[in-house]
Amino acid sequence: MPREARKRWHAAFASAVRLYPRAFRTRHSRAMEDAFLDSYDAHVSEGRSVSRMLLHTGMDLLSSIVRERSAAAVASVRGSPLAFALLGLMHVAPLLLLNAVVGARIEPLFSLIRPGSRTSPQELVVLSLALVLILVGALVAVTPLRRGGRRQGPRELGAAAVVLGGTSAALLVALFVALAAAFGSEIVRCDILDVPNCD
Amino acid sequence: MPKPLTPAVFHILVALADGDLHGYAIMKRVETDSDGALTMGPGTLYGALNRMMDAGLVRETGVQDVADQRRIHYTLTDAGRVALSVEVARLRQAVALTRSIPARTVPRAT
Repeated sequence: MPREARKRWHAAFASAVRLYPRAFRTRHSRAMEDAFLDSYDAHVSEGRSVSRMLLHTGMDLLSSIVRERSAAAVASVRGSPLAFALLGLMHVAPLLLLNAVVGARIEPLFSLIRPGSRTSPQELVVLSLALVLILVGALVAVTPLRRGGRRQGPRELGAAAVVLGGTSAALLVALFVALAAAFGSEIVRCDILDVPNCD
Repeated sequence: MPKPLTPAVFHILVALADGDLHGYAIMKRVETDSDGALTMGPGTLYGALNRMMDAGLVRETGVQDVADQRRIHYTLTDAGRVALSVEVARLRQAVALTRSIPARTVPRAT
């Protein structure tokens, strides 16, 4: 009976270990199972509470699996040029949102941004921040190039990192220049020169 | 200034300072050294060992136990010894600082 219980708990432990990220599992699963069996045997032979040890081990495994899974996810995002390119491109979202609010006159946001009939100071501030965020997005998109370039040199960087990061950043910078020029000229024509029917 | 080590990393370094140990022996040694205050399960132990191996503080020495061929032992690297000595110096400094505080200003630990 004790041997069967040992076998059963060992199988349960081995199943739980499979929930670790692959790299971690490959490196440590065997040693972890040995440590678990050693601990189990010691508790049985010393007459200590096995159920308490199992409960502690279960809680320990659960928190450790969550920690290692999170660390692996962060590491994979950090090493992924695609994730950085997407994250960089997402910096356009606040400008699109602002444009939608003003274009479709979505209340109460529209009145907050533009309380009068003309472009308000707060609208200029929000617009400037949204535009600057596009440049921040360009920097985010080229982060793998900057990091990788420092560590490995440009030749060792993958082609995907260069193409994805470079293209996204170039797109974002071009968008920033075009939008800044367009909004700038519109503000000058509509709010400074007071050209009729310009908005 | 180097960051203080986590309790788990510090105790593992202390445990390995006297010689190579396998996983369960490290768990036992940490429990004994900390008077039972720090009880590591396999998850915490191997999570810490994994990060320490990545940081170059410890490494596997392979199977050493003739009686049981399964066991993987761990040993301190030179970087691990340096990290331990830096932490010990930091803790000594902290202890020296606590001695300079008048006893009446510090509440007694219960």
